[in-house]
Amino acid sequence: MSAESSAMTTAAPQRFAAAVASPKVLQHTLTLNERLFFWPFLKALAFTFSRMFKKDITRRYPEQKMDVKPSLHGVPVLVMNDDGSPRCVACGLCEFVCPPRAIDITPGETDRPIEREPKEFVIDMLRCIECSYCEEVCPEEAIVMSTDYEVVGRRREDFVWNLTKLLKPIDQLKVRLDWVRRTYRRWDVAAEIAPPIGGVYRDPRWAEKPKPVERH
Amino acid sequence: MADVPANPSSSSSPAFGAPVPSSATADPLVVAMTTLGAEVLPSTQDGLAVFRVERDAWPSVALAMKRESNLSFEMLVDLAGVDFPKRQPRFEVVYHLWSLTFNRLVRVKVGVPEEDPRVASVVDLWGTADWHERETFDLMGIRFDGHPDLRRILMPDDYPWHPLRKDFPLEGIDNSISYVREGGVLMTRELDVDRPAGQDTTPVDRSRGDPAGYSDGTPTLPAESAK
Amino acid sequence: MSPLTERLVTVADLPQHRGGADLHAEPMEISMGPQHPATHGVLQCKLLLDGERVVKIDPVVGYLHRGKEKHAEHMTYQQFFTLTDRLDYLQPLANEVGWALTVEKLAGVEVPPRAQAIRTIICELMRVSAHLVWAGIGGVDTGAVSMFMYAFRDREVLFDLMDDLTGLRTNQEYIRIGGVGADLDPELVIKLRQWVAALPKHIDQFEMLLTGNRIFHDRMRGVGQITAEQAIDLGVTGPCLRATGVGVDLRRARPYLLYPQLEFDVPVGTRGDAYDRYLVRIEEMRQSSRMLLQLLDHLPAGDWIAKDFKNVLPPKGRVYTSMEEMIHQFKTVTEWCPPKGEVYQATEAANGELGYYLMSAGASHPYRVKIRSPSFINLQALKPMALGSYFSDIVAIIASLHFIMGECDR
Repeated sequence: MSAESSAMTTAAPQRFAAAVASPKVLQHTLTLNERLFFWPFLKALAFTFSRMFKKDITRRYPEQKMDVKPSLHGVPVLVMNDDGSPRCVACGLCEFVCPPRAIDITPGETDRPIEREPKEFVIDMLRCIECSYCEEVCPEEAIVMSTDYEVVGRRREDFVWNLTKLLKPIDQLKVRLDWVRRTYRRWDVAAEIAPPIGGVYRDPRWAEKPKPVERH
Repeated sequence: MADVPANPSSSSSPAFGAPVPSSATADPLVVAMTTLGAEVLPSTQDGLAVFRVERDAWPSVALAMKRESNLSFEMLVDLAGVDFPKRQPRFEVVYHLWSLTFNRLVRVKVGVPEEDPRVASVVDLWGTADWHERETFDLMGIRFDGHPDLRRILMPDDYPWHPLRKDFPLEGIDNSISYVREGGVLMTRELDVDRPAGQDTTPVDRSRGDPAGYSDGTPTLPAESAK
Repeated sequence: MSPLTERLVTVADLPQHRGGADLHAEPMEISMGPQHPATHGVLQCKLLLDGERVVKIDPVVGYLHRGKEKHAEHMTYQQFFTLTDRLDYLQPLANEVGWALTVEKLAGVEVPPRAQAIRTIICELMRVSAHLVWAGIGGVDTGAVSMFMYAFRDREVLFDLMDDLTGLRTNQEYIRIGGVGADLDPELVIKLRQWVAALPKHIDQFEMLLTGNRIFHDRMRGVGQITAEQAIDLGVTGPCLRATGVGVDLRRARPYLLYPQLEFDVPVGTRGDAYDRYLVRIEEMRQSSRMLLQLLDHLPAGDWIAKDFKNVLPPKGRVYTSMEEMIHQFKTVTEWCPPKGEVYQATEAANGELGYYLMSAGASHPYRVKIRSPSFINLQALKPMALGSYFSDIVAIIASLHFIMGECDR
């Protein structure tokens, strides 16, 4: 380290002692070995060469799909009851909360006991950012994030999904609905699986140890 | 917007506020700032010391805040312009200054009236104010006297409005040539010869007068440029 | 003279020793960007070159201006999280945490320790993630193309883990007012721990490729040097300030979340050049992995979101059955209004001090939001760093500054 730089580094932390805490001074000057460049160069080459025999981290995407986890946010869809009717009651909460204003609901009346249902329910998938706020605020479990993360189309109109396109049978959404029920129970579920604050976190699911990830 | 209190000192709830000037005077920072002529405002939820400085006194106060050893605010952390359309003065420039020596963050507010939206620049004290002030000029229309190069930074250079003012509509003002598709033909509004003459096509919010006629010397957009 | 020259250059800017007669001595203008691969987004640099030396530089920003501060005045507090994601898109969750801390300070919401720990974890994960991108792109910019692959290898795995946690690989809308959106699963803790435990080894590999590499060293050493005084004057924060020798770190200076309880060092450089900024960032990744191990090993138990019916959405099961919770659900979504007041809250983001100045008029929308974005402020230092350096050094300077234009232009 040169003289002027050492003066600077020692002066600065003392000057701002109130805002600065225990800095760790880093320096690196090239050693002779590194200056000569030959051995480090060979080492780096050997490292790069050895990578050829490692397992791939990346995924060959269109052929090899992403693993679908319950937490995955695909595009939002509407839950269809077994009789084919939408579960939605057109309360408009998702329409309100949607940050990019992708949802448009036209409410209507129905003879079913819920009395209200959407006459039309439109989600513009070009605007949707898959934030899952609609799912979180829905008081009826009527709109959930599907596992469908590939939405393609040729025209803009293909991305404007209406009620018939949005309705999905409840059987296809079981996994996500379970996840929603568990996660959005918030402190109710936390109280079940966790000891009081201060204790060590012991989840009953710890019993079954997950397999180690072998991607490194 | 109308909910903004006329006086900011009444804005903070008593739970967070510290409107106790008698005990606060014990603070050397407050003493020093009061000597400089700054008005002590009640602290808000984040507990920072808040001061209001008159616009004319701000250059000398800023100089003292930077240079005097008992203040020594080395860093200008943030500079924001706030618009209160119903207050007098209308604008407020909010400085957040950080003293690394004492690890203390303060907020200083300078009121700027609408008729003469000017405040002294602090670029020569804190170099970081350069872009901050350009941004505040760009988005809020407050001019900074003594700034070496006060031009727009985020918006295009020929943009005529100051978008962060409260009277600027969120959807923007259509000041450029806008293209409309009519009968499958892409054409500009200006090319529409059947439009009644003398009628402005730009959807301007005229509740506070014509935004193009801001008093700060912003370039005005010709309302009817199509010939 | 072209319009560009008329705006930028006067005769006074030209080097004094030049005579006008020599054709080859005329300074040359170059517009670098806004679509230059080395400017990391849409930055335009208007340069005046004397041979290979930079005589004048004028960074032009604003190409990615999306008016987030204006939008914030028309969005609810929860909705604005989605826009903060897109500020520094390399560390979306850290931006969300900053906004959450701001709103919670304004509204006085207490965050449970487990949520705070999860937030601290993801803040550090995001710091590592952003620094990994910086290491990769910085390697590409200075000629070490393979570096990109190794940096993105780790980032790719982290993205998968983020997908487990939040459901999205990037731009996750995960933070809620009062806590986080979902619990950190024990299985995920194990996976994260494996990732973090492998990190120091991988950083050693990066260092083996770059730190002692003579080409990289000669390319970065002494380039874009600023002094501590200059950096403080220009408001530079984060690794760029620490590289000048000033160990200012908001995690220590104005602590937030669980940082006061964590053991970590604040790395500082000595000379304030591009190479020191590289060393500081590399060491910050090590410190982050150290903090992450402490956090993951001692993750507090409890709720992941505040048990606060007035500020947080009530549990779903009760919403279906109880009228009161149903009303809370609707009230919280549609008319959650924090008190009047103003708050400035800063967090140490990967690039420096990310601050939100929030003014509330007691409505469900903010009255004014000012985002103090570190990239915007740090970019000002490009001028003193680049003046007098070679043209090719600008690429190294930009790489070492590592600003994100999404955050810079807001």
